[in-house]
Amino acid sequence: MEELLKVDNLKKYFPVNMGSISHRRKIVDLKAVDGVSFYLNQQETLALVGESGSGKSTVAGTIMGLYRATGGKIWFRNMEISMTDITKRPLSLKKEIQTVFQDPGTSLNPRRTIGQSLEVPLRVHNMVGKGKVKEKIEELLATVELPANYMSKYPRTVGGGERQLVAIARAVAVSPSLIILDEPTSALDESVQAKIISMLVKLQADLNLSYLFITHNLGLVRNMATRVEIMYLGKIYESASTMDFFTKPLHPYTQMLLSSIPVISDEERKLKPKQITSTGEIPNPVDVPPGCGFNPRCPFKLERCSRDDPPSVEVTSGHVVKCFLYNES
Amino acid sequence: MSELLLNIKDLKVGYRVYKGLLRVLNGVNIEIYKGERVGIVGETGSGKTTIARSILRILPKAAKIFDGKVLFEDKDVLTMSKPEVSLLRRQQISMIFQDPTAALNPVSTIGSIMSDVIGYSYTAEGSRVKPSQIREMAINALRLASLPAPERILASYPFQLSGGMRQRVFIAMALATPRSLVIADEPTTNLDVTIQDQILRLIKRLIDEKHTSLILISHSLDVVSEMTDRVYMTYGGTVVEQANTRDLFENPYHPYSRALLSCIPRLSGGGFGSGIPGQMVDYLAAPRGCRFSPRCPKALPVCRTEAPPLVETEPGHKVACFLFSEKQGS
Repeated sequence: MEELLKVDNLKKYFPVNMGSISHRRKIVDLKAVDGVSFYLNQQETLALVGESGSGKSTVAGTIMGLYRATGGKIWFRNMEISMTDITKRPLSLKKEIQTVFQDPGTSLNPRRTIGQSLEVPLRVHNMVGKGKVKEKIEELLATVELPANYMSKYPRTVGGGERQLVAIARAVAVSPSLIILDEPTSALDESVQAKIISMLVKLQADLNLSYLFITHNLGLVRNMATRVEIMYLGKIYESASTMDFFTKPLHPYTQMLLSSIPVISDEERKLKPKQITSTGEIPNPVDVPPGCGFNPRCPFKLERCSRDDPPSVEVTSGHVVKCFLYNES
Repeated sequence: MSELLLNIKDLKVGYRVYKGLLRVLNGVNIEIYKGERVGIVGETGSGKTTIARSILRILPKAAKIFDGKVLFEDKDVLTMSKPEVSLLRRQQISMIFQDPTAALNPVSTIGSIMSDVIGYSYTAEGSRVKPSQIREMAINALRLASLPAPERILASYPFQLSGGMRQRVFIAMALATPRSLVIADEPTTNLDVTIQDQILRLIKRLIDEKHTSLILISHSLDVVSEMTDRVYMTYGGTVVEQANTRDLFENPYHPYSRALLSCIPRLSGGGFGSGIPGQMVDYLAAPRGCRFSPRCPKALPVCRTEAPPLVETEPGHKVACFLFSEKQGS
């Protein structure tokens, strides 16, 4: 399989002022992403999973060009895209990477009709000739199974699920090869989520799309992703194929995450690791604990965990974990 | 079976809006027994929160109760006088809201919020809490909710705490004095999964220790499945199915329950359904018969004209659907 996207030791720091109003400014770095590496193959779905504050959306933002990386490199089709000034990204590159955001209520312009919103990318990227715009919009709406009369409606007059379908139609309008899905269904009901996800799966096959799927819903990951990356405090703690990940979770954090998921059937209950229960909270990323970031919450903590940051080791083929417990050999 | 605590009978509630009248709850029947944990599940707009708010009579001004009774220990909450309702809220029922950030006053310290609540409550002996006891009770409650350094938390403002800690404070407050019923309305919706797990275990532990009944209102079936003994599945302001939690999730009868359960992505894999076609009920023009009938793949002609009665398909398992009332020959 051809490699589409490669991220190598990506870093994104945000300067924040930790001083109080009455005292002097004290600028510190918030290390939102701190050395993240992964790759995404063509037609794959890579799930980037983590709690809020883990830096998963910052990774997405850096890839789509919202932020300029502090360090590290991003390659798209063997072309380095990290250091090119974001404002100078070539149009042909912007066309290839599209995004679907979490809340279609804010990602669609409320003063534009759905048709107008869909028209923008078509015109910017010169996708169709002038006379054929309307035809193309109808086709796009049909792709996501919405009736053609939605063209003249405003986003607020349709349901949340349908708005998200419009956002998806807008993303596929310019025939991209990579779509970044930033929690596309976490604001929606389950019956609507199922519809959106099956639409995404269908489009992936029809249009040869690759997805970088950012989520915290592990049930969706199990049913949709090819591979999984677990993020915590700006770093990747475990990386595995979906099957390996759910049958043999290695990192204590991953096990805690899996054991915390509420489930509805006994079959699922059997899959949850028993020996570990959730404690503590994700620390403030400005004040990361020394050593392994997870050590204050870890039940299997070793003495060296609060001193050194563990390296990532490949335990079995394709299954990488960042933990001293697997570092013995 | 143990004693009946709360009995909602044929509750019909609507809202007056500019466009007309939203007929939301359309004859809801719910029974809560002592010491029981009951879930009310449904999607956005199914009327779950309206049910919860009717119990405490904290519906917004635009709401109108058409019909029905909310019997709490055989007394109708809906016809109680204001002092009686106030006593009910101070002594018997407390509520945990979805968003503790919005529910905790941002300009008061946790200590002052908690002492207000505890100061208006009653002890197990039925007497008002003495001002001298308040601080000690607050500290105890926070400690029970597994919050470290309770004294420091009492001196903090809500914004100084994390989301999970705020929700713990709220739970501590709701259960600081003895209650017979706690209503939790989506208590973990804004929280991360590891924090959600901690909060749910906390609620479960406190509820069981204090022999309190719990009504858990949630749109997430998995949370309800982990937390409750019995479930009411709601759709469009009606109860479509009720059963023991296990029975309902393993063996759903109602077409809506089946469709919704098939939409849940399972940890065990195997894919999932492609959603339920159509839209949630428009309460301005709610369907005359079964409210799910316009979206139901198995709708019969009778479904569009008459509301289906609740029938018992198995002991304790009731379904409001004509598909099952026919089988019983009625």
